[in-house]
Amino acid sequence: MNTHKLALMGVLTASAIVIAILESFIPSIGIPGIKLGLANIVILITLYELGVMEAVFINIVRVLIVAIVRGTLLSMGFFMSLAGAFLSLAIMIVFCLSIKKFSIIGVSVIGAIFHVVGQILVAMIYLDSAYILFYLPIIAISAIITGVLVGVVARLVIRTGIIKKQREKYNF
Amino acid sequence: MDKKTLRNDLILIGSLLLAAIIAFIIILVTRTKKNLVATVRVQNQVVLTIDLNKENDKHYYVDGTNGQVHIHVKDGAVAVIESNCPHQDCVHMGYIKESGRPIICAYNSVSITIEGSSSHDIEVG
Amino acid sequence: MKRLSLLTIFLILPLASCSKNEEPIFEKKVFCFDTMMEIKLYEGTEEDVNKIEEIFLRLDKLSDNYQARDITNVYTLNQTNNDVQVSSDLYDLLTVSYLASNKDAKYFNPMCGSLSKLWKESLKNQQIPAESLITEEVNKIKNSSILLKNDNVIQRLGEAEIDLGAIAKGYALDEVKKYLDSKNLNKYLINGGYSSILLGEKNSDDGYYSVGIKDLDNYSLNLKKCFVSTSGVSEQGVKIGETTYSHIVNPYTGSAINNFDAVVVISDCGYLGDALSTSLMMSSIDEIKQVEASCGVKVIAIKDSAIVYKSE
Repeated sequence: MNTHKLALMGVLTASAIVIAILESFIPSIGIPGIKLGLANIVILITLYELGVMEAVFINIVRVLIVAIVRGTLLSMGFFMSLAGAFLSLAIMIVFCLSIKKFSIIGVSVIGAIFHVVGQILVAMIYLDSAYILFYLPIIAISAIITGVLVGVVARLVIRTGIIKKQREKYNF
Repeated sequence: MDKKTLRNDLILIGSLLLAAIIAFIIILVTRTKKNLVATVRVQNQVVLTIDLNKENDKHYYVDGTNGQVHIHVKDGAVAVIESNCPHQDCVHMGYIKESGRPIICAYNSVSITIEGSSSHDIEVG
Repeated sequence: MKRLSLLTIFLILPLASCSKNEEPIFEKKVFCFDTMMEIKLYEGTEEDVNKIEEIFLRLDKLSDNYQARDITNVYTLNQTNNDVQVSSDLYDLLTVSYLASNKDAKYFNPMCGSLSKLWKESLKNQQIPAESLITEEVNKIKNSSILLKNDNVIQRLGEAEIDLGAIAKGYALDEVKKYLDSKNLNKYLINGGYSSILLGEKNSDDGYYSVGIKDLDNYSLNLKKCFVSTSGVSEQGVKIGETTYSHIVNPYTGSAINNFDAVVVISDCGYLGDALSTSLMMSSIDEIKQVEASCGVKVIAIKDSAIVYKSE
């Protein structure tokens, strides 16, 4: 792989990890372990600027490393993050590639919604309770707001053209 | 970002937000009982979990370390109604339905706790 | 590249142990003292939990007044009026019981065994014991005592039976605290059947535990590094007619009617807290204030689901 691309992926992965760790200190309301999904800023940027495989890679590494560092590997919170991260990435890939009707902000909002949906589904299975669904509306509202925020930040970063310049300069 | 995608975004966000708010209001209006689970342990091992919202008028027989304990679930509450222990403290506790004090049959090393979010770390008294 | 990533992983893995978790790392339930003791350690090893369990099981054996065990215990002492050699910890337990009873825990008497049993048997049948029987027991207590002799020798004088139920758990918690201090462990919660609790520090920023009181819905105390001893009528009280009779009996009058529904004592001494929580159930509020001043404890007295006395 192109060394420069590798370096860039390293920076992006590290950023995603740091954001996710900082985010994990925010107390979860309602459902234990539920997260906002701020790391999607990086995932979105990667998806739009580098590609699908790169975004998937950073997603996996992010979830694993954060779980190791926070000591939550293989716990309910870990599986919640895993499900949320991948459901959200999957839907964002679909919307980004095929359904071109929405801007990055719209895609981010859809991603955020599926991020919490994934987490709630795993929590429901783990705690064996359908009652958790009752938290979905209020959590969805916070996810929508987060989604807009994440989308705006991602858009800002992309618009600075930093990554685009790197790609053109080093050919990847 | 052009006007068209912006419009689409707003429609998307607006409808999602609306749906969430409506759902939230519906839930608020038609509140259901909290999910309460009674966990029965012998010494440190969980031997039985009972969903207090689902089971009603059910009987359970748990083998403790010194004999059998007869547990009954009724109207979202759980109690020990029969036990071979000498003091019968567990039977005297009656039905519990909230997380607070567990039912303990020390003679049989059986404990029944109701898991749930309690506002305190521990409750005395 | 490979070496770098390998190195990074080795640097990050130690961080995995630094996660702040709300769950105790070691938790064990021990059934003894006729109830369930819960050990919750937020630091330490499995060996620490086992050592604490050993302390509980040993003191449970020693304080047992219902049956003989494989070591000389209270039941054994109650069968004779001769000199009996006991282990040093049982001797110590009897010493502090005697001390507490004579000094500050006036209405606690370690020789209330047969008086308590009399009330317990009667209340089981929803009856009050006969006046004459109560008087007989009260006289027995008046004419009995425990002689603490040299070389861990005890002599029980008189016919009243020794019952250390009101103080044994607190004493056990004192021993547990000594152990935890010796191992430099500070984050724990040791719950002795909810009536005797040893609070260390919580695994949070300020280390305070939020302590509620049964039937007092909106009341909360923030406590850490102390013993919380509670005596209450609620679970073991029997209502006959208009009066509620409890298992806490005044050793001098023989009455099983208490001034309060519950008393909570916060102290830095387990056995004293336990003895006081029993004794103060039969005290007046003035006597509570005196005890607070002389022992440096904090007391909360509850009646009819309301706080009728509180220090701070």
